[in-house]
Amino acid sequence: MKPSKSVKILILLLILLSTMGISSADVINPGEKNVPFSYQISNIQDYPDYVFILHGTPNPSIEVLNSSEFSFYKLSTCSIYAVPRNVYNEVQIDQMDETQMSEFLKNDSRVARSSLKLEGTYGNVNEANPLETALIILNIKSIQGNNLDIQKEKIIYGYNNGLKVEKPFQSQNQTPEPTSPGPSWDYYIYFIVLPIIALGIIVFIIIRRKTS
Amino acid sequence: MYSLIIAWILTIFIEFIVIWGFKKKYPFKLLFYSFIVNSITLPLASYTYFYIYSNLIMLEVLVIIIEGLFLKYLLNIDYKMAMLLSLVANLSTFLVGVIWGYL
Repeated sequence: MKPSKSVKILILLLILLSTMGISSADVINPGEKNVPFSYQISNIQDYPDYVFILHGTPNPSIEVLNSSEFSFYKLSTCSIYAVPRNVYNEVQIDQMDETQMSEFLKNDSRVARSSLKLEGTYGNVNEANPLETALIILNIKSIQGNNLDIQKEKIIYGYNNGLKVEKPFQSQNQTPEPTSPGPSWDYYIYFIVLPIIALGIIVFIIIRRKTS
Repeated sequence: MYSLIIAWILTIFIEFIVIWGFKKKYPFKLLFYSFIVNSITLPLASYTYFYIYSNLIMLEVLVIIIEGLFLKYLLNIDYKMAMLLSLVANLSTFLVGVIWGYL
């Protein structure tokens, strides 16, 4: 039996529909997942006379950093500031409003600032990608006057099987690419074995019907 | 991988409900048909989307046509009904997937 005219029209309509594009800036598309960046300062304890502050747009307005990992909203861009501890206690930064705080961090001569910009997310990858986390290790090189020299040292990629892979930064502007550990056994079962078995069953059913 | 398995199971059940709503008999047989049909189309469509061609609507169209052909032979119905059934079933899973993605 050949497809009728209406089936042909239906198929044509479906194909026409397929030419429509779908796109959105901030939305995770179907079949994708977001891999956030998290950060950690490896030698913050070597600078006990400073309070390290994370400030970003649109947020956080202020976050005091310690040796723990930190992360922030995926669309934010953040900077790190080093405020001498005595200045931090004196100015009571937590009582400032957003404008005063931003003014203080960006213009006060006692604050050391870095040109390093931190991004909130590594990006979107497809669901089948085993990549789960991306931790960037930062290292404070020096604090001189109002210049904070802080650099990205390495990135530790985490995969869904628990594997961690470290990659050193060769350039501050270029994030080393992750190396995929390769697909796991469930990947082969889902994408290869399952469709082959199912197709075999359908062919078997159809042949059996035709012969009986 | 976990989310792919969840999507696969959800698709099998949603499409089964749509087909059962049409045939209104042999629920276990229809569930089995939904299982085997979606065990072919969903993994292959996912693989194509991830690694070869990421036009979601084009892939949905191909899936609707292929599933329509499978349903025609498995359910012994005509092309028109098979394609319509496949369209409704896949639109249902697509909408559930979109809603799921926003939750």
